Order: sequence, then structure tokens, then C-alpha cells
Amino acid sequence: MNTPSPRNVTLVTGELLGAGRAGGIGTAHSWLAIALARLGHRVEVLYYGLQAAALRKGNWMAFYERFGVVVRPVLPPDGSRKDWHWDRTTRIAERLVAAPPDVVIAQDLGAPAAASLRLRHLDLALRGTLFVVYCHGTSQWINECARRARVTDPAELASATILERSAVELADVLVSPSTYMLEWMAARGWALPAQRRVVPLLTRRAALGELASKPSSRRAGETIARLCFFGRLEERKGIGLLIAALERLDPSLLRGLELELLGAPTPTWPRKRVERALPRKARRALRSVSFASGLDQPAALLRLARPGTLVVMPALGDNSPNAIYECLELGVPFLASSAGGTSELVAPEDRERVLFEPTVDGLVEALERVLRAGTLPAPAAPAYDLEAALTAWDETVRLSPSAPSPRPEASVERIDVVVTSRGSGQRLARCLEALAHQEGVEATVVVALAGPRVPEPSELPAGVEVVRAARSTFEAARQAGLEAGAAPLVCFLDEEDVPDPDLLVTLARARASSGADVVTCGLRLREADRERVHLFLGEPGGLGVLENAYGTVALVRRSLLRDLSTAWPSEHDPDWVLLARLRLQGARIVSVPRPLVTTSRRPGTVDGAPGDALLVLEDAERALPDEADSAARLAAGLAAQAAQHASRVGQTGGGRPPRRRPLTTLALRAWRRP
Amino acid sequence: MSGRRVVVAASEVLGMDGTGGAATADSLLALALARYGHEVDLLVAPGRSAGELAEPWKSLYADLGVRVTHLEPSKRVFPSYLAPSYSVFETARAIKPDVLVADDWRGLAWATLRARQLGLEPERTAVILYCHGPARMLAEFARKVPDTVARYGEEIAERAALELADAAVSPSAWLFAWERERGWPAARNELVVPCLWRSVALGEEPVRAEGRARVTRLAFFGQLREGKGVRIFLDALAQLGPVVENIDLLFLGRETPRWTTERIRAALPRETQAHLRSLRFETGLDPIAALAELRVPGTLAVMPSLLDNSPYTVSECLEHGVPFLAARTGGIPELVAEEDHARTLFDPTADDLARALRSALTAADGVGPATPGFDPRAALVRWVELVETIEPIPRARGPRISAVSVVAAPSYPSRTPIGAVDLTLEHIESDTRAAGLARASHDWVVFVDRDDDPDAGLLDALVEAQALTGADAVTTAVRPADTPDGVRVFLGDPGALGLVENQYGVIALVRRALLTDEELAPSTSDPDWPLLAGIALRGGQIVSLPIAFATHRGRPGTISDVPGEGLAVLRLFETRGHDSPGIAALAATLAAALARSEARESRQPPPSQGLFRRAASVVRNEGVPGLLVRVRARLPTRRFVGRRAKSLIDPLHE
Repeated sequence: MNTPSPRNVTLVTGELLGAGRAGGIGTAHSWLAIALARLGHRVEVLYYGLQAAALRKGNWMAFYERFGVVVRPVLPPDGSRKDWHWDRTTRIAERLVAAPPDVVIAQDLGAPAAASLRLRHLDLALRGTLFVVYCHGTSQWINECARRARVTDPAELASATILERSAVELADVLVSPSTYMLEWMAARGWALPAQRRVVPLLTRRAALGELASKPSSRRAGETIARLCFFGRLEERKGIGLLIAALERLDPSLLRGLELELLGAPTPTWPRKRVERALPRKARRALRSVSFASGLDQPAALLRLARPGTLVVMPALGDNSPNAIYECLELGVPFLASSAGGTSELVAPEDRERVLFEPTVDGLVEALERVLRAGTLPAPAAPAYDLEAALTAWDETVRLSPSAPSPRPEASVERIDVVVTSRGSGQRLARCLEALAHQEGVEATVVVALAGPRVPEPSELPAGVEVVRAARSTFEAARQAGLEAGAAPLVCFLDEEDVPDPDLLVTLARARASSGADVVTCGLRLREADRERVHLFLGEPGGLGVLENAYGTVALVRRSLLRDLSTAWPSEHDPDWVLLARLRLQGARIVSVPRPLVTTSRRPGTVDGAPGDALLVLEDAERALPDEADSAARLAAGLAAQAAQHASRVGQTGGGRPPRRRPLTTLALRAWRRP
Repeated sequence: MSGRRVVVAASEVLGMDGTGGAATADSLLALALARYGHEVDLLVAPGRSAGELAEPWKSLYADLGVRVTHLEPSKRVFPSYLAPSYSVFETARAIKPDVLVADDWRGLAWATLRARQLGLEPERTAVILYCHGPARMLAEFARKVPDTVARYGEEIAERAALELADAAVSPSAWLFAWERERGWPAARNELVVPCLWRSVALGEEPVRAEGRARVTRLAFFGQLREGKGVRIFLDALAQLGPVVENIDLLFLGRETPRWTTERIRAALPRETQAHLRSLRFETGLDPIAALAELRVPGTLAVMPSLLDNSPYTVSECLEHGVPFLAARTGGIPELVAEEDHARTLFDPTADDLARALRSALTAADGVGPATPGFDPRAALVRWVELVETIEPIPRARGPRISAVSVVAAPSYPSRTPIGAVDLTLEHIESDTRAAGLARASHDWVVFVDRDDDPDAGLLDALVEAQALTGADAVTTAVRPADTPDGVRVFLGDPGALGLVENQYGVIALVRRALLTDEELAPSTSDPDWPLLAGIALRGGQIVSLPIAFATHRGRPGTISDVPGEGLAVLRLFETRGHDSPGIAALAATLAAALARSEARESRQPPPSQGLFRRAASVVRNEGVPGLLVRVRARLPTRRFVGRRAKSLIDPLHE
């Protein structure tokens, strides 16, 4: 019998055990990496978190290497905050493209593999790599679990959600520790790949091959001495629910018990707030209230295992919490909410007695039942098999990727390139010069004049046609340029744009492999003192009314381009108006996550190009029905208000002043100085 | 017919500083109606600072018996964008005029119309909406996206007012078409009546410009703003080159922050300025002085608006025989006789304006004045006829509800009996709405929570409003318990604004068949928000009484409440079946983010002071070593952290 050959597996994650904070994602990826290495695969971890130094200092690199896992930090983003997601995912794509592994396993949150997946989707790289997205919960899911509609940066959340969704949809395989998480995504209309697997999280014991040794700390029948809230002090983990339940609970049931809150405080629930919020009658009845935070996993588990401890985990939403795995493995008695994927972890026969609805009523009822009995309930049994989980992961990494299939017309379609000239002969010449060096496609160049100046024939390369519209607007010029040609594909450029030699061939190839109606690409934006890469989402959904996240330079199917006129001439970004309109008409738009053009044309935004934003909005309203259409206007108005607010704060200095810590800084310097 | 009691509600009137076209139209209408023997009140809704009226307007109002009143709200109105409408409503309730003529902008007639629709006073007042353009159109003139939530709320009120008015008068057919195109409801009677000329309104002869002459002076006439076409005017001048040789250039209109005289001067190419004989700005002239400037022989007025309804600048040129060029946009072509279109109108682009200017400047005998496209005296006749004959349109009345279940929390404050005439009532006391509803036996339900303190007349008013409208839910304005002199008004059906805040209501008579278990789930803050949003999103009609029939101790839900109902409402919007849930989510989260950042800004103490104060206190009490111990405990580097401190430090951040 042949031994299956090992696979080169790369895990992509922003959290790892040993690298500062490591929540559920870090724990899951760390043990998965070790387990795969122990199964014989060559495992590398691309770690893009900000705590690489902690890994080195704490000897964690050596720990992973002991199992054959190589951890490679990815340099942190250095771009502006707005482009943070793109910055990270493109850096990771560069690493993967440079040395393509057999398998990539990437976390869903933050979509670190989004650019790599898009490149593969457009048949531009990574053709032979299997992509697995490991689902722990996306940004939108986290937000929903916290039961809040507000976020710090809504546009960033929208952008992250689009990237996360696209990564999930473009993956070959989804692996989730719960059916619940897959159903959550499907219920929101996400087109999940056909290959979906539910595999429980690999625990430390499973990863290290210690499943045979059973822990023996089952303590059924012990008198309850302590209630231990286990989890970060945050709304999602149910701290508010616990406090409300304590308010409702008969104080006599709490008399003489300790209450311990085992988990880190958070900005919304600092320790003081929890202390203040605990009902007075409950505090009087309890023997003590204590907090423990900053403990590592073994220390936390030791506290849970103390005699007489009943663990309470009233999370409002959770996928497949490590805390439950740990209690199940250690035989620690607990009460947990049945939210999310938790119930899938508990043996069906135990669910009724250890799980409760994530409501105040549910928690009160569960606590009353157990506290009236006075003794710890029997520990629950797990519903999963970790040996089978190891096998499932081994099978998963041996699957084959679903490669894109290029369409036959890729190499035969001709392209008309329409360059809008607004009067700068020098810029126009530079753009035309770059176009003359395009490789691998048959292109006809038309210069459409949108200004009073007509270029001298000497400024134009041979074969370039010049057209002039009756009106001097972008739209009229482009219309004239469009009508001067007949190729099935059209690419609009501005005289500011300097295309890379592979612009047209890359766009054509991406269009052929994706079947999209429009293909845009990233830009190298010239700014005062540097160049900044600007990438586009392609199909930005609602975000498209706030900024041009479609693209500027685009290859468009001619049949979609008929009347380019607008209610009034666009001022800054005619591509925003055009591409938003095409998308609203149902065109499919993809964007190559690579810069293929150098330009100083900045894509439009609602505050930078309000007239263009209004044109986009008018089109959006006509296309959307009822409440949705007015929501588009509302969204745009809110964004504008936010921008106005930010600018007002900036001008008047009325906002939060910059943090100044002169005294602290001096003290720190004095302390650290040798 | 004897004189009628007429109230004209405006946002500004002639005699105040820096007024626009709407003020001119409203003021001249009030004066003209007074001349025809009607008893006229001219109300200025809150929003502009009320100062002494300038002459000659003050005397003119007095001479013709027009009472001008600057309104201030008698109570604090929430949300504040409905305060102007509420002030007009309170005055109309007190005066009970025969006719109320109110501007469409800011929905000035909304509260009056809503009250009348729901069976409240002033029931016998006929309401005419004078349509100069809603906020959204003004934003479109300026080519910008409306940038406040208040504007959005105003727009809901503006739309509702259009639907409920007995007649809507617009100076252009274009405006009605613009509204139709954007899905606004049609008014029941729509009339196109050009704005009254001053000479017609006051019965004067207009002073006309002298005869035709070669153009020696160009006068940009209108506010110096983007929407009035400053940019294309400058671009067009730049194209003319020596054609403007020895021409005087005059800008006649108020400055704006974006287009100051300095900016215009800087934007005008030096080459063009060199050709001109003079460049002058007149930014503070009143309309009479401005017209005197325009009547100077050889002057060509230019009004290159990007979009406009029925600008007085054009009307005044027509009235005074001033030659002009105006943009062919919005309602402007309707003002000019068809045969004069080709020579006086141009497309609102720099190219076409340059063409028109070149033609005018090179013509030996200049440009002749244009003929109006309407009869200015007929406009006055139509207004007078309308005001003298209009009556409120009779309302159809549906069957009255005969039985209501009142599901009340066990301890709602006053336990006031809220019975109603001819109504079978069932009182159910219940901890939860779902449990109470399960015991209810009638088709209509009112939930009374611990926060609610209903007035005795509540049920009568709700049931009457339901019979008059056939609505699926009727809510009411409330008195906030913490602001006894205030009133919180609800839009009723706020469209997408319902995603941002509860603008439906907090106490409601609801058709039971429309209630779902999901929306009756226990809530921490505002249970009515998801309940009523669900009804609205399923197509149910919700109306809200603009008079308070209850005191409310809670606060209507907003998207920034944590925990709150925002997420539940967002899910309702997302799952209603539209294919664009992303937009709804974005709108909600943007609003919440903004609200939070503004709140933080307003309450943020200067952080450095706090830190210094704390540090100074530590040094005072514990000395420098004490400070260092504390600083050390804050260090993120673990190796400095003692065992006790370790358990206090949180390495994780939410």
C-alpha cells in the first residue's frame, strides 16, 4: 500500500498561540498547524498579526519548529488605514505567488486570502493551489453577536465584509467547526462553495496526540461553592445577561457563594462598570466577588478545575467556543447558552440540563434549577470525535483545487482604447507612448477631445484617430470615441493614465476567465511625495454610493455601452458614474488586485466629488425599489454628514485632542534608561 | 365672496436680510391677497433669526394690513427638524384660518395636514402647498448629496405634505415632473401659476429698461454659488478672449463661502481680465437697487443656473425689460416666450454659454428684451380665484373599530382609565406582550408599557384616526417625562429613516393580524420600534397623531443604543426581500457611528488634564516612587509585571 505523499500546507492567520492575544482563531490555527505537521505534511504559517516579536521572545518559534511547523511573519501594513485590508491581503498574495503551496488554509475574518483567491479566480496566479477557508466568524457575524448596529468605521466594515464574502465564495473548500456558521452565511445569501465540511476544533490534546489519556476531574455531587463566569467581559459573552439574571435571582440562592469573573475586561465592560452594575442584593448575598484576567490557558483551566466550581458561559452568540471544548475535555460542570454552534458540541442527552436559551429568563431558570439542588451537576459529554476530526483534515488537504477554465475568445477579442484628452499634450503623449507598448492584444487607439485644445499631429503616434464631440464634457468625448470604433471590448483611459505594458492583456485574460462584463484594475496613485497603491472591490454593493470602489480604468463589453450621457457633466470621476450605472443594470464587475496603471486621478468619493456622487445616487435610486432606494440616499447622506463632522472637528479643534502623556513618557524613559 | 382669513407660512419674507426667491414669492402673494380684501397673516417659521423688518417692506405690510409674525415654538419639539412645521400647526390651530398657504420646503404644512387628516383641528382649513422646491431639489441645484439626517426627515414630511394638501401650486410644470420622476406622490390638485411680479402684486407700473443697445456690460445676476453657474460663467468668459474687450463685468449677488469675490477674481484668467474695461462686485444690494443696476443701458444680465425651478432673477428681467441670457434648465424655459428661446436661452455648459455670449457681444444692436411666456396678470387672477374658492377636500370615513384589547404591563404609572366612547375594551395585565396578546380576543390591540402614561382621550383619538385613514397602526406624539414642556412627534411612516431611529411611535393602536412573534420578543429598550418597523416593511400603513396623548418615560430607540433594538430593525430591513441589503446595513451603521462620534466629542474631557491631575495627586500622596510603581503596572512589557499586577492587566482588547 502506498503512503500518500505529504502536502505543502500554508496556514494564513493573524492570531497564534504565543503571539500576544490569541483568541479562538489563534488557538484553532495553532493546534491545526501542529496536527497537520504531525500527520506528515510540510506546514508553514504566514502570521500577519502584530505580535511577531512576542513569538520570538517567548520561544514560541522553537515550540512550533519542534513539530515541524515554520512560522513566517508577514510585514505589517504600512499604508493608510483605509487600505489596511487590501494592504495585508496583497502582501500575503505576493508571498503565496512567489512560492505557491499545494494548500492554503486561511481564516475567514479579515479575508487575508482575498487577493490570492481573486488572482486565481481571474487565472492570473496560483492555479494549482487548493484554497481552504477556515470559518470562525466574519466581521459582520461578530457585530451581530454583539447585538449592536454601530461600528467604529462603517465603510471599513462594509469593505471587510465584501472581501470576506468574496474569499468564502471563491474558496475550494469551507471548513467550519459548526453547521451553524455555514447556515449563518447561507442564510445571508452567500454563494457557498460545494465542498463544505464541519470539523470540530482540534484541541491541544488532539493536536499533540494525547487523546488516549482521559482527564479525570469529574466532580458530580460536590457542593457548589463558586460561580465562575468564563469569557471576556463583553456583551457578546453575556456579561449583561449575567448581571440581569443576578438581579432577578432569589438572593438566598446566592448566599455564601463566590462569584468569580474569569476573563479580560474590555473597554465597554471595564471592571469598574461590572462592579457597579452587579445588583446590590446579589453582592450582599455572595461571599465574595473577584476578577481574574490576563491568565494564560493552563492557568485559567486550573481555576476552572477547583472543587465546587460551576462554570457559567451565557454567550449571546458563539460559533464553537474553545471554552466549551475545554470544559468538556476536563469534565468541568458548566451551564452554557445554546447560542450559535455551542449546542452541536454537547451530547444530545446532556443538552437539556446544561444548555439554556440566551435570554435572561433562560439563564435565571438554569441557575435556579442548579442552585436549588445545591450540588454540581454531572459534567456533560462531548458530541464530537476528535480522532475523526484529524482524519477529516487530512482528507481535506489532499483534495484538488477547482481550476478556472479560460474561455476561447480570450486571445481573439479586439479592444478599442478611448483616451480622453483634456488639453495637456505632454500627458497625452505619455499615455499614448505607454499604449504603444501594450503586449499580446490587438488594440485600436482613439483620442477623444474633451477640451478646446486639439493635439498637433506630431504629438500623436501613427494610426491614432482623433475625434471631437459637440460638447466638451467627459461623457460627450467618450461617446464620440466609442462611436469611432467597433471592437467588442472598450477600454476608457484618461490622458493622466500611464498603463503598464501588460494592462490590456491582463484585463482581457481576467475577463475571459471570469466571464465578467467589466474588468477593472488597481492603480499606482501619484501623490505629492510618493506613490500609493489603490485597489478596488469591483462590486462594492452599498459602498458604491459612497465612493468609487468599482475602479477607474476598465475593460468593458461594448454591447453594454450605449448612451453615456448624464444629467449633468461629471466633474472628477466619470468612471464612477459609468461603472455604478453598469453595475446597477446588472453588469458583473471584477477588479484585478494589482496596480496596472500609474495615474494622479483619484477615485471619487462622496465628499471629494459631491456632484458625481449625486449622479451615482440618482441612478441607484432609480434602480432600487421602495425602502432600499431611500436607504441608498440615506447612506450617502450619512456618509457626507460624517465627513462634514470630521472636517469640522479638524478645523475647529473641537474634537478629541491628541493624546499627550508627557509625565508618563518622562517616567517611562527614566525607568527604562540603564 | 367676502374676504377670507388667510395664513401664508414662509421660511423668510421680504424685509429680512438676504432673502431668496421663495421669500419674494410668498411676500408678494400675501400683499396681493391683502390688496384683494383678504385678512392675511404672514408667518415666518422658526429657523432664521428674527430681526426688525427693513423698509419699505415694513410699511408696505402695515399699509396693506398684512400681519407679519416671527414664530417661535411654544414648546421644545423633538425631533427638531419638525419644529418649524409644529409652530405653523400651533398657530393654525389657534387661528383656524380659512386658507393656509405654506411652502413645501421644510414641510411647513406637514403637522397641520397630518392633524387635519386624523380628525384634529384645524379641520376646516383648506391647505395650499406653495412649491418652490423641496430640500432635495435644492441639494440637486447645488449638485451635492444632502448631508444630514435632519434633511432626510424633512423630506419625509415634505412628501407627506404634498400628498395631503388640497392643492399644490408650482410656478413651473417642470417641478411637478421632477417630483413625479423621483416617485413623489401627486397632489390632489396641481396648478402651475407663475410667481407674482412685484408690479402685478402691488398694482404698480414696472420701470422698464431703455431700448435695445449694443452690449457693453455683462452682469452675472444671482447668488455667487455653484448651482447658479458661477463656474461655467467663468469658463465661458475664459473662452471668449478679445470678444470681451472693453466690456464692464459686474457680479450682482450675494457671496457664498465657496465662491467669494476673491476666489472669483482669482479664477478669472488674467488674459480675460486684461481685456475687460472693469470688474466689479455688488454683493449687498437690495432687489430694487440691483434692478436699477440691470437697467443701465448696454447691460446684458446672465443667469447660467445649472438647475433652477422658476428663478425671480429671470422673472425680474422679463418684468423690467432687461435683456438677458439664461440657462435652458429646470422651469426657466416656461418663463420665456417660445419665440425668444433660441436667442435668450443656452444649455448650462461653458461651451454653449460662450457661444451665446459671443453672439450677443458681437451683435451691433445688442440683445432685445425677451417676452414672458405667460400673462403675469392672469397669475394673480388664478391665485385670487384659488384662495377664494378652495375648501378642504372631504375625507372618506371607514368603519369605526368597535373593540380593542389593551395589553398593559402590571405597573404602568398612572393606571388612568383609557376607555373610549362606544368601544368595547378588554384590559389584560401581562408581563410580556406575547403572553398578553395570546389572551387577547379583539382584532385591535394597544400595548401600554411601564414607560407609558396615557391620557384619558388616547383611545378615542387613536380609534378616530384609524377610522379616517384605514391605517394598520396609529401612533401618537408624546410628552417626554423628562421635558414636561416638550413634545415628541413621530413621522409615522418614515421610510428608510426608520432604520436609524424609531420615527414610528412608542404607543400604538395596532391591527392584531399584522403582529408576528419575532417582533413581540422581549426587549431591553424600545419594543415598539421593531414591532412598528415590521408592520411598515410588510406594507402596513402607519400614521401618527401630532398632538401628545400620553407621557412617555422612555426614549425612542436609535441605532446607537447598545444593547438596543437597532440590530433587530436592521435585520427586518435586510430580510424584507430587497436585493440590496448592503445599503440598508451601511446606512444604519453610518448613522450609528456618527452619533457615537458626536456624543463622544461632546462629552470628552481634556484627557491631558485628567492625566496630569491624577499624576499630581499620586505624586502628592505617594511621592515619585509611588508614581513609578503605578506607571510600571501600566507597562505592556510582561517582564516588568509583578504577579499581582499581572492579573489586573488586560492583554486583550475588545
